Amino acid sequence: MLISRSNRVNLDAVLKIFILLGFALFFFIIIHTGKIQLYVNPRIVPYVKFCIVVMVIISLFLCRDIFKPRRKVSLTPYLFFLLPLFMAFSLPAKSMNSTSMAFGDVTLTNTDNSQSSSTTDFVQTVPDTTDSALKLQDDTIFVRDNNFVQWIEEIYTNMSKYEGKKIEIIGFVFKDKELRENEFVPARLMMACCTADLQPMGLLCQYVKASELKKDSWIKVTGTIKAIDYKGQKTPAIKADKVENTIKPENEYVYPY
Amino acid sequence: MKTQIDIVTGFLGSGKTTFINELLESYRLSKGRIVILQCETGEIEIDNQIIEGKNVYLKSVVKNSSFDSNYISEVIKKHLPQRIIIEHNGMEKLEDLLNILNERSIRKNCVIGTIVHMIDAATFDVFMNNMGSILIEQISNSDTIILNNSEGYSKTQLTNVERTLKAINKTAEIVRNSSLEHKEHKLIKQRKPSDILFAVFFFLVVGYFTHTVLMTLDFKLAAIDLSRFQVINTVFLSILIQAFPFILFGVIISSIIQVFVSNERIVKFFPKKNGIGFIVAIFAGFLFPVCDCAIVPIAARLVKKGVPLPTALTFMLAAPIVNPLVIASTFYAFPGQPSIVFFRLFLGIFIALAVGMTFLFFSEEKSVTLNSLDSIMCRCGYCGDSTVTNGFTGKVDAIFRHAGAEFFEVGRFLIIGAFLSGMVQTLLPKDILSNIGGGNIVSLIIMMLSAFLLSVCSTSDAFIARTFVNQFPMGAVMGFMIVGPMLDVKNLLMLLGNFKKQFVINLVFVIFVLALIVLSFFLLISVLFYGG
Repeated sequence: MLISRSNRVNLDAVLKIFILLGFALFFFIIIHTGKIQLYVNPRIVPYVKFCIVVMVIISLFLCRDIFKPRRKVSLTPYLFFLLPLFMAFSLPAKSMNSTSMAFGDVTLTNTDNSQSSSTTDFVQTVPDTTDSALKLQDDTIFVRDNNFVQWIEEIYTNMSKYEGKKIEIIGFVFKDKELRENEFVPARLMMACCTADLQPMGLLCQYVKASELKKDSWIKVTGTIKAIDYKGQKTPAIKADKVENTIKPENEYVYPY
Repeated sequence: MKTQIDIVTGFLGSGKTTFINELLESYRLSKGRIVILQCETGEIEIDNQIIEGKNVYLKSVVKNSSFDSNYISEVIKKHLPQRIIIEHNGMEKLEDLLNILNERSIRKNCVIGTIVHMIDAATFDVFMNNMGSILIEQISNSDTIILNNSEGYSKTQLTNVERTLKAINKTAEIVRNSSLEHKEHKLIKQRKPSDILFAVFFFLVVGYFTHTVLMTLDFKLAAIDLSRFQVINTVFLSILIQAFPFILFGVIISSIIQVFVSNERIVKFFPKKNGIGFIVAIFAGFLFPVCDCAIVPIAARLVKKGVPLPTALTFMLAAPIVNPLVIASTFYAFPGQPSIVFFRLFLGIFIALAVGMTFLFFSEEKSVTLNSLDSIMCRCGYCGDSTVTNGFTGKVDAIFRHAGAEFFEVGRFLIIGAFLSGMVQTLLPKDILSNIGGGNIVSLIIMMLSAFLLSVCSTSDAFIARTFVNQFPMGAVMGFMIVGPMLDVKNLLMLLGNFKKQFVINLVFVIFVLALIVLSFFLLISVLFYGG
């Protein structure tokens, strides 16, 4: 098929509209199916909706140009847009876990060290409103999807207040070579903005049969919080009474806000 | 067989007629019947001796007001030419002629061959400064640009002219000092169908086909093969999804300013005294939230209109950082860490001021701007576009068109940046990066260089910077967010298009050294705030 240079339609405008509507459609589909949670923090969703509206409006304005043939059309710039569009539609979003981020091991090592430092950041800034959500039920801390990050930070910050309290937490088994035989972390991946900044987060857990737990499997841990000495730092940890397998939560990620 | 219509454009005295004479003399071209339509007559006339005995008909339409599609149709009917060469009037818009040729009755019988633009190197700068818009319109529509009279000019002068031409029209072939053979070859050559587009379709079709086959035939194998790529893809797309709204918001704001605020008003805004000038320069960015790529031409214009160079430079470097959109996106990229927004602002302004001061003390005696046009050098969009903006609807129309154009210009750099970032995220062993990094100056330099190379628009670079936090100390990531808006590949290209080369080298050096000093100092302190 040869595309004549003196084409009747303006290829430039057609491609622009195709790309704009393509992205708008992609955004619409992922919002509609909820897959957008695999890509970005739900907080971004309203912005993405705004993006869809603007893209549609711009393409409406471009529509008039379709039949105004323009001579000089350089198509190479549009390659950059067509490729991600193609990738967006052809490849399903991959939900990350610590294995799929194969090189992420090192990041995970850092987490235990950086967790304390990253929490100090949040201490100054986490709005007070989250505190109201953090309530004990029957003297037990129930760490759930919607308060995971808040609870972990709260426990790190006010360690002494929660020492000896009962805790129930759901996460995947995270192991690292720096952890001892009887230790593991029931962790969740925290997404601040998008997939690019996923970070595992959790509380250190001491459990006799920790070595029998399968890496990345989803578990529910029930236990007691106590302060232990980890690498010379006083760190909150869970002394597990019971670890049982559980199903993977609908949304694997947790969000700091 | 359709009649091929070639168009020769250019200002009076640029050598159009001479060129046509040369063409007619050549053997190959004159085989068929040729009609020459002259819309303009200058000092040189079509040589009768050349025409004689050949199938060439000369028509003068200089004073013919009824030069329209009917006229051309009649010419075709009468002479049945194989080729029509139109000598276009250089003072008129080429688009008007192209619109005539695009009418249905003409399109049926004709095909537009080559549009040649003739330029006299000696007068190019003068014309460009005085009649830029007409010239730009013609150049941007041309296929081939012939640079005449270029013998007496130094290489750098010609390179400057060519750079300007390239900026206006990326795809045109520029022929300099060429022999007749060469020129003729350009004009005779048959135009090829666009193979890039074909390649894209081919790639997509093959890619999709392979993908489908793999998925159905051997799902497991395909899943394994693709998993790593899928991770890259997901990371890549997620960066795009969150950055696109900001980019779009940015281009709309920028377009509104483009349409509603004239450059003159912006220039008036800057006091000529240095002290107040600096302060205004810093805060002007709040009021003109343009992206880092739109700012270079504005800064160049400021310098030309008499704003002192140090002030203009401070404005140019600070504006992309104090831009409210940039502040907002930084805030969203680093949620709950307003200190990062503060440091980005503070250090950015500090470095911008320091660079401005440096040029105050080592002031450049000579003029630093290139004597060419400035507005069209902006690759952000159609800043130089002479969009007729009549009434409110016209303005709204202009805003969205401009925003669309700008989105496609800026989005490209974002996509490349996001993809590279996705690759780095997924493929690069993180211990290598953290080994290089680890709180020293090297990590800062790496971050500054990647900011330069990634060329991400300042309105969204915070999101990309965010992804480096795991591997690099905060101080180095700060370097990414401060150097990026001031200096990157696309910025550098625009600087070279607006300022003299030596000045650009000086500027780049000063920015880099000052940024390195200030940021290394910050790097040492930042360990206290953000940990190793």
